[in-house]
Amino acid sequence: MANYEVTINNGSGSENMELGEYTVAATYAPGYDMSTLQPTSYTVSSAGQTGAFTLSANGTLTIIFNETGAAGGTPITSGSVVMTDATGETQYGPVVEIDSTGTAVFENVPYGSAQSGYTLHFKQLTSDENHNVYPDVFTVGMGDQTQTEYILNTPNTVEQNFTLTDANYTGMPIEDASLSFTANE
Amino acid sequence: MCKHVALKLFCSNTPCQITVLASDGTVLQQTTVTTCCSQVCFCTNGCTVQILAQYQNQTLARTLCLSCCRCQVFCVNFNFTPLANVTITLTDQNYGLPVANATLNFQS
Repeated sequence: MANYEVTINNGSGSENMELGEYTVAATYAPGYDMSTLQPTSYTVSSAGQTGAFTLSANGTLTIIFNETGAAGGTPITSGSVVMTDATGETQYGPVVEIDSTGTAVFENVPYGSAQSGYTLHFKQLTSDENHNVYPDVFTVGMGDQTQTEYILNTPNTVEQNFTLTDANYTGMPIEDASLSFTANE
Repeated sequence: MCKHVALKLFCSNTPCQITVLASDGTVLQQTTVTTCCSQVCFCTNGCTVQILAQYQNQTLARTLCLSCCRCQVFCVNFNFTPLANVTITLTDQNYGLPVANATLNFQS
């Protein structure tokens, strides 16, 4: 009876195998539910074959985009974000919308532990009209089954010029003054 | 008395490493067969020898019984099970990203 253990690194592995039909099981897959392996059978009929398998995970990652990059900041109101590779060049899975509370939720993500999180990369594609997109690929160490992360989106600013002159002597510039502008909530 | 033995070896797959062992485990002869048929010779005082043939991760064994007084020539054939090199990919079912580390067991 032939029995092979194929090691997978970064999504692929290879083995010299006898021809025939096999039952397949995942025996090691940190971050993933090994019972979800698909398919569970495989036939080796010729050299040079490629067998494609998948696994599913059950972690949930919530990402909140706001003006502080921490809890309690003013959130953005729309946008989009996607999972990527470390360079941001390759996108994985669907683009996830950021809702009116600045929140994007990624279901079924792999997770590790507090000591060794599963590394995931993301790229924000768009923000709302009043904020700037986070400019870089950001990385999350998914260490818990349910996890929340905060990402900074700075408010848009436009340059303004002000003049301050004497109200009684038209046009006379006021030498020194400071004006404070406070946003209306 | 030292018996001279010649083995004519056939391996269905090459390169095939041949090891000839005396009954006490002493290595009497070791060679790599790259073409079939090859011949190796050795001398032993024993009555039995074991011949191991190894190709990739398969090992086949034969035991030969030697008679006492005369030089002997044996023809030994080793037929290995054909192996196919298979590439396995493992990706996330929901996002398509490559699974970082895993081990899959294939049982026939």
